Amino acid sequence: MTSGSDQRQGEEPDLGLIGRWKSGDGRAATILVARHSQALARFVASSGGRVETEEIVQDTFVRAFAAIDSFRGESSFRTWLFTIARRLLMDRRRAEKRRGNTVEISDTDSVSEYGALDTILAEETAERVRLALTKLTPTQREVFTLRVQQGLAYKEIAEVVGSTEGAARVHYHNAVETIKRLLKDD
Amino acid sequence: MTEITHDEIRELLPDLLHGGLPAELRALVEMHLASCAECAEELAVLRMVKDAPSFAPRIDAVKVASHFAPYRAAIPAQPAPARDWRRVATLVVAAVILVSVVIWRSAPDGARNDQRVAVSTARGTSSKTVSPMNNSTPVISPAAVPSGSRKVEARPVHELQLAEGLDGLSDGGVAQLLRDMNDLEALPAADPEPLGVGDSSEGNGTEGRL
Repeated sequence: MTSGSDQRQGEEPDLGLIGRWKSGDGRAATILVARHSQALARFVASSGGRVETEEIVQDTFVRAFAAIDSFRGESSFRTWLFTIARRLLMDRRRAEKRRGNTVEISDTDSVSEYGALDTILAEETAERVRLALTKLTPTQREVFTLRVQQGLAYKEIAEVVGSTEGAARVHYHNAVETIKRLLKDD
Repeated sequence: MTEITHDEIRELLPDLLHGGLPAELRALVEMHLASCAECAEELAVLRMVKDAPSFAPRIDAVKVASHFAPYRAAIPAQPAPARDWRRVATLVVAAVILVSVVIWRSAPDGARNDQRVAVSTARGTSSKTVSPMNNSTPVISPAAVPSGSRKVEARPVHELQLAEGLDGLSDGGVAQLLRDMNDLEALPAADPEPLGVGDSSEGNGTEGRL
């Protein structure tokens, strides 16, 4: 029911743009980046990687285009990008854990994770939502944002987070209950 | 009109937000929302999350794309060269023969003496015989045996004759040779049967064994 893509009617499909880029048309790559970068940035930011969002988004695209032949079109291009971005986020979390600099948002310390700079940007509703999201476990947060903010189907979400559709559904419903409770309490 | 449950409606709320529902299904969901406060409340929460301003920075697409290396098509893997199956078959046959000979030579004499195998192949033909010799039973010579202790004499009849070479074998010949080699037994499958020496009525009860 959902495409997981920001491609609008009448626009050239992602696969067509990929083909053009392979043929040497650099503008096709720019169109693809512009089409998917903000969704990717939002996903990365909401998954706890806000500080390095720009860097991760860029790295995701660089890796995706370097390995473009491994994209078979079985999922949407955006879903594939989410999968790469999530792996990069997890690699970064592991590296930071090894260095003893844990930035993974846990249930106990998540409220203060974003710092003062973010509050400048946040309006009241956005801040409430952001705080509510930080109360979710990392997987719940990924599944919930992919479902609600990105509109991905469970099948696509399962591909991104490396689980089953059933597990993604359970994570989503647990997240919904938590978010509803938190936002009602405010 | 199709029935749809409350839980199924809840599943569809994110799709409704993203305009991913077909018209008929969308109408069903909206009708349910009009009468279900719980679903309406959940939809409002989901809409709040979806429409909340993003904290993500703006991404400069041109800058990101400028980091891409030019596309280089993956080099297709070269097909593996076709194997010369004749050479492979020859090597396999040679290996089988070598192993058979080694096993045969390492077998105890008694185990080897009970069989006599002749393998002959004709160059350029597939004809080959593998046959136990007619006189494979050891010959016991009563005269040569001192009284009271009869000696069993077994003729060593080792014989494994191969053609001059295998290169000249036809395809069928090689296949036949492989099948026959599989049938060969380098060692007896079980202990040999006790052999009666001469007529049991004339003997003194002593039996020869291989």
